[in-house]
Amino acid sequence: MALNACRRLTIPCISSLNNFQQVRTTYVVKRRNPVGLTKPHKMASLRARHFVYETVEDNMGRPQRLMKILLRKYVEDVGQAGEVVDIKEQTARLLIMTNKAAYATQENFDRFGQDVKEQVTYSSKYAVSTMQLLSKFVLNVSMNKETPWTLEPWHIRSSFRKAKVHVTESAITMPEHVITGPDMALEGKEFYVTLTINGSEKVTVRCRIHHWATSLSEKLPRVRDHWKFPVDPIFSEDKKITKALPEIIPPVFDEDDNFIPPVRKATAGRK
Amino acid sequence: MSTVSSGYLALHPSIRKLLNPSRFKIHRRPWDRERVATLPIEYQKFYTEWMDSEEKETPVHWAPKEGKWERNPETGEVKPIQNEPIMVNYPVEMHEGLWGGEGVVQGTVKKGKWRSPVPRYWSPTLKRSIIFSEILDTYFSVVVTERALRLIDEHHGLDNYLIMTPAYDLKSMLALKLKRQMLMALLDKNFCHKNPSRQNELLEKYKEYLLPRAEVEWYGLTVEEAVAKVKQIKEASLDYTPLKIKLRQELVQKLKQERDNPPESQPDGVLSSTASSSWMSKLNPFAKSAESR
Repeated sequence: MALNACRRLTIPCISSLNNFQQVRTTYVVKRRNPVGLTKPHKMASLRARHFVYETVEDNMGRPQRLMKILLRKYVEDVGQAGEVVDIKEQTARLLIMTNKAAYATQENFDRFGQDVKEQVTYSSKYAVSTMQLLSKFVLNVSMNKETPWTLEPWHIRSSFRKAKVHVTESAITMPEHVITGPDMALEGKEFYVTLTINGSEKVTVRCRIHHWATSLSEKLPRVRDHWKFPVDPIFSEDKKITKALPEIIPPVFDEDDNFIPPVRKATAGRK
Repeated sequence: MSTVSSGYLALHPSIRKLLNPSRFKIHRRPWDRERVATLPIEYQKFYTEWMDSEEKETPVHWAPKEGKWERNPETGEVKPIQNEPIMVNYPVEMHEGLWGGEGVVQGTVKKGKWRSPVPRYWSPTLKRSIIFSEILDTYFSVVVTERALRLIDEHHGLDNYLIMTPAYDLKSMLALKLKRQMLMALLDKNFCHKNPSRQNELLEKYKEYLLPRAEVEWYGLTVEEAVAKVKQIKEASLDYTPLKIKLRQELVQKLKQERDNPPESQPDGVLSSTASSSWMSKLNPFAKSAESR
């Protein structure tokens, strides 16, 4: 078995160039000058020329191999609980170490099959990461400064499209109150819409109204990095929702207007 | 280094015995051989498996040719295939990690047709990683190679890898010590206390790899440790208490016995049985013997 394993290691394997990540493997060498035949009752007589080697297998760039694992829990961007997935070795090892996955063997299927059925499932493997991304998102809703309007789902959809998020109108739940404009009291203030991902998971997204005009004289002055600073909601009863969402931590600048990076909390592992 | 004479005329073992063994093999640690010969058979068995089974080792740094015979494509001449293994050095640091049988290859390379060969060392790439053992229920942070990690993955876990792989492929002292602990735990059923059904599963799984207790006790020891163990056992069996203490204790016990059970007082004129059996009676030639009485 081990011999086969060794042979498998020596086979060059490039599954896909997208996944090309350098891994250092074992060196394999061979003699440049082969040793002559020896009689059964004697040792081979080795000379200096027999120790001149050539490298057959180098340990430089080599793609990481894929490994099959059985997921014991839902893992973001990898898969659902109970799924068998092909992922890179290093990620697989990490998941196995943290008890989120196990080697895909019959023994493990029998062992963890029952636990896996009781797990919470999501609509897709990307559902949770999409929810996390959208909950931190600040959507800019540009509305006309001159023509009167009432905010409708298609406004939100097109605003999302500008931010490279593609949403269907049926997935958007508008706020309870009707928002009409142009109204300069609404400028730069927040309201909240709810998105439904794959008809199951729900996320609340921050939206900020911005009044837009074509002519230069009518245009509002530019606010630098407005999405990095927290603002008040349009409706005061929405403050509950603001608290539930991840907090926006504003950047800090010194006297010369240089950005001061936030101090990270020390993690347990680092010293 | 040993000649794997596959396909060539194998020498008859009885003839092989007569010849000097150094003809066939250069032993790795010749200075250990005399000491190992004095140690128990269980340890000798382990040592042979660990250091003296080079022919069984999995080739790591070289690829042996397969088959018994080879035909020259040009001349059609048939010759036997003899695989001469490439020598690998195992530094001391190997024993502190899991290198998966890798070592340092020392050799030379020729960098041009008219240039003389220059020395080169092919050494493994090491990294620190975390491994987990289910039987010992512990996470270890050890220095490993990519090959070792892959072997662990192929065996579906560290326990499987260590228990199923023989000592000549494990090589490293750390791996052998861990294996020893695992085998001991399996023998004593000293694992998975919280989950008895899992314990039974594992016992069933590793049933064929279990060794007798006498062998496990000598498994995974260095020669120095084995020598020290023999010395310890020998010293424990010896009794160094001075004779005067022993004799004194015996006397005290005897006196106590006499005090607790005093001999019954007998009437005068009747000889006690002890008197008749005194040594003087034996000297009397006229006394009746015990048979005639």
